[in-house]
Amino acid sequence: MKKVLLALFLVLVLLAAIVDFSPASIPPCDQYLEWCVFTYCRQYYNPDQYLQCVNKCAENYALNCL
Amino acid sequence: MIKKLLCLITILAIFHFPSYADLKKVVSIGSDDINYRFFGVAGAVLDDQGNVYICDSKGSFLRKYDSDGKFIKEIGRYGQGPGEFSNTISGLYLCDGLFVLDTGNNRIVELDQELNIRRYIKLSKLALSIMGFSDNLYMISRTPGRFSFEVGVYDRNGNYIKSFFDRRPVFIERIEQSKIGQALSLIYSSIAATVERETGEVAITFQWPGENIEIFRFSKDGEFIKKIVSDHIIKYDFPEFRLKGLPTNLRFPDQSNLIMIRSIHSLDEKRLLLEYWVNEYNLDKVVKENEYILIVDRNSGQLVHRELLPLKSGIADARKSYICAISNEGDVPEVVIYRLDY
Repeated sequence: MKKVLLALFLVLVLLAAIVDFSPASIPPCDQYLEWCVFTYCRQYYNPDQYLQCVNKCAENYALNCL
Repeated sequence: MIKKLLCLITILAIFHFPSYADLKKVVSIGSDDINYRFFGVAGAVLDDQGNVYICDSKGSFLRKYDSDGKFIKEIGRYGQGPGEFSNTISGLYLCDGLFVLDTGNNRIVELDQELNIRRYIKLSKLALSIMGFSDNLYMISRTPGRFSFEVGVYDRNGNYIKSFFDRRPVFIERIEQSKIGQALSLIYSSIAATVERETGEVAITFQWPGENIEIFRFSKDGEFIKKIVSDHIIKYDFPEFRLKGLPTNLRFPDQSNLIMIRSIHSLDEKRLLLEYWVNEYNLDKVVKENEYILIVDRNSGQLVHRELLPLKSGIADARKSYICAISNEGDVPEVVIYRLDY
């Protein structure tokens, strides 16, 4: 019984991780940059944080898409 | 003679020495109470009665409050189905109904002002911002095949009609044509736009301005009207080193200023409001940061007023004398309505 509960718990944790960190919301390379800069970074209302976010977008794009 | 002198002084005071009257806080919405708690506000708009509509991206909901900030209604939860929102909401617009740009679900949700869903409009490409007037919806998106942006005109069913705005800042021409250079040119050619509520006129500006702030005015059908130019409030040249093409160069701004126009809003038929960020750096340290509201004359581009905005706020909406600001910093994100008297 304990093993079943443990397995169920692990499945739930795994599902939660998939839902939370699903890459589905991050678009592919042809849309990544505009999504990152104009949708993701828009949450920052501090200019310096916003600039850092935009820079990170450019870095990620350069690393993963070029 | 004295009257003439006083008149001249007044004119000079208005046009050359913009005043710094305080913004008057009218309503603040945001607390630990369940109906007033936010997680990541993505958009907020005001209607003519002073009601406030707020969409929360991280919370996947849309709420309505009255002009005193009292909670009225909430809809939405996380998901892809009817009545559900993703956790990537990019904007909210009010124009004969509410329009929520749900980027994560690749759709626009149209609602009436009682928060009843009218319909879903499926998006055929990534839209970065949404506006509307009469039967038109305007969406900012990347120009196909180019590293720049355009405004697309759609009908209320999401059918594409046409696109307009084919411009990039002048300094973009100095960017090398490497792949990372193309990425940088996409970032630095970004635009912000607003629609005048009475006429439908569209005003567009570059978010990363060069020597001047350029604002391009178009009719509601996308016909070019005129370009107006406004001065920066500090001396400013777009820093050359940011164009070299390496992200690491971007990360350390050296001794330079960051100026960005975060958003543009139409106050009325005569005035535009610019949300204007100024950061001064010494190496990678911010030594001074200020956020301003700039009010410019729609016809001349003349700066008629400037106002310091409380730090770490963003302007979501503005109409006539009211400004709707978002603050997602701190434990309790909030939406604040200010009255601008000057």
